[in-house]
Amino acid sequence: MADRPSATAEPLVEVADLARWFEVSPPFLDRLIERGSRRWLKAVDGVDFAIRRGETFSLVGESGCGKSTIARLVVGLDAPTRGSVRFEGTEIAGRSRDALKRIRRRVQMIFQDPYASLNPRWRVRDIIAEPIRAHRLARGTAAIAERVAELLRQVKLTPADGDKYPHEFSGGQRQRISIARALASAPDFLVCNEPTSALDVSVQAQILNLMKDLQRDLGLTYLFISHNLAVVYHISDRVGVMYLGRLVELTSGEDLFRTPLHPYTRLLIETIPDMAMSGRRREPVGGEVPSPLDPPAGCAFHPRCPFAAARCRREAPALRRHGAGLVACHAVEEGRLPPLAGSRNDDRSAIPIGGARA
Amino acid sequence: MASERSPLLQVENLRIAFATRRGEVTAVDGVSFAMAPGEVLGVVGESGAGKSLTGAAIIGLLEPPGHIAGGRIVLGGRRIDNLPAPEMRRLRGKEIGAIFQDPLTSLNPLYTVGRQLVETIQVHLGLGAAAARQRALDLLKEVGIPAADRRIDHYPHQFSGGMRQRVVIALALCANPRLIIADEPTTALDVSIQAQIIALLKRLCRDHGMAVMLVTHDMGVIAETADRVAVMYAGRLVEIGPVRDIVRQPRHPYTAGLMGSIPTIGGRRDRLQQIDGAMPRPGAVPPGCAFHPRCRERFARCLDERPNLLPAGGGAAACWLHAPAEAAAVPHG
Repeated sequence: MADRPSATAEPLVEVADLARWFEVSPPFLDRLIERGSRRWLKAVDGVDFAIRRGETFSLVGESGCGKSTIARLVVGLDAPTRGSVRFEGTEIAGRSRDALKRIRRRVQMIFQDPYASLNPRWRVRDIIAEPIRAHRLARGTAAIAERVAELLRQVKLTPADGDKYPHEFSGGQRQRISIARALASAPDFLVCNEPTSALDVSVQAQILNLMKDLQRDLGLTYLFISHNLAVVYHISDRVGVMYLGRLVELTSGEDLFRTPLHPYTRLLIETIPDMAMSGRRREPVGGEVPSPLDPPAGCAFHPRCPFAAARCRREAPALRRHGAGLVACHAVEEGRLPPLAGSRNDDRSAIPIGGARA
Repeated sequence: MASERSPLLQVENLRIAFATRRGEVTAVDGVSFAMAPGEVLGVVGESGAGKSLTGAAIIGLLEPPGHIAGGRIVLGGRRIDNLPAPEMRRLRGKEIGAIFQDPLTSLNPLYTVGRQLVETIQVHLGLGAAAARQRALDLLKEVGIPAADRRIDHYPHQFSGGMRQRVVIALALCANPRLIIADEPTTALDVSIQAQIIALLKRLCRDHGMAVMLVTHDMGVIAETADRVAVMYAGRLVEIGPVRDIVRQPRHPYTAGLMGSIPTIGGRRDRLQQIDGAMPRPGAVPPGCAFHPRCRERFARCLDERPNLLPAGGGAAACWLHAPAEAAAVPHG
């Protein structure tokens, strides 16, 4: 990664104590009659991380862990209940549209579903030209057309594709159009929410390669949201693992997959289907992610955790430095967690993941 | 893979077509394969490759204007592709079970899961109400629903996604079918739940001796579950063989490209191998080998002559590289 125009110490994006709660209380009158209290779904509850310029920072976790909510908070599509989001030191959480206009040009988002995120009644060239016009980045029809053609070439489409409508393209090509539109305002920071999850693997490879090329050529910074660990391993410099609205581990991509610390991270890595066909029997972990409406007390992972102790049921662990990364786990902190016996490619049955045997 | 045993399912030269305003469009073309009893056959391919249509044709659930336009489907020695609708309905569920991607659409939201199970059991096995309920309860326990005696009276919306898929699997097992068509059974589930469902399917397959046709785009699931794999491309079967061969030593250039494009943990983190271009749409399939415009190893013959499945490794590949004459002329490792 030495060729990247990157890696200054100053972060581009800083998120501190970020929380987003959704009210799910019964209506006021019902509450009054039944003496119920207000109820909150804590989709994100106290998350801190910083994204360095030029890097790919990924958030990974299962559905309902809050990763998409964070994506929306970071681009300003939603306002946090508490905490801050800073872009180059400027607070963006809770600011007005006008105040954010300059930052908006520099922060763009790519969505999961390329079918739903493009206006079907617009020609592709108009879809891509819209941010250029909105931010007045080029004046005059000819200049705009030239810029649109350049963007289409950048995502490996042809300028002639601009005359077509979104429905004339395949899923992968549509995602290229979404990327071209995101790049139209010449952003520094792209939030990519499951950008390849709706695509076939061979198309996914094309899009991931394209994203890597664009990052190298344009010096982009990515926040990459995904549930797919193999994709996250492939694209990320650093990774945060989320469980029920909190970060449980945050470290470099290599370390996360070589020496996962948090029992939940180990579970996630252990449950990936084994493409190497080592003949290893996968031991599925029992249980499911609890409802975020009624999360367990203490560490939210304790009901599924083979290393849970009394303290885990009582006290939520904070994210603390451990080695090169950060981890929120009492067992790690107290040295109770058995070390990994080998790397992922060695005898993986040694990875101490307990739970139900199938 | 027990080729000595008589096959449970034979699909011969299956062609599926859609009637459109511009004439008939062929979506699946000349697909032939057989499945042994108790075997798990993985069917992989990209969206639009025809894998789900093939499964739907076997179970008689092709949606019009799609229809079987040629070939035969034989289950346990009996031809089933031309059965009248009422007979097909009796066969479906009793001899062939189905599991689909979205468990919510396979369950009736207005009935408790117990009622849906009991009804299915009564229709297919003719049991009395009490015996049917007991069997429903046993099935729910077998697929790993905790507190099954209480959960049996719950509605589908009261179950999580993973639990709902377990209910759908129980529903498919009601009449002890010999074959299950599972179309993307784990795609809608989170990875940790996916692992549970795969383990469950494998155990059931072993315990009941059921054959499973596992349709998925997820090679990881296939690598873990299947005995053999069929790879589809543009409506055609391009390679079929033992799972180890397909994953480790694919013989068709498309399969090789597909395997290379999958990111793996612990692998190299630079560029992924990529197949340029896109799969042709039905109706726009080029002459000769359907893959030739994207193939790096194509030669003259691929452009105008369509390859049939030729023996390759432990299986077969529809690729001229494996024709005896070409194999001698073209070095191919």
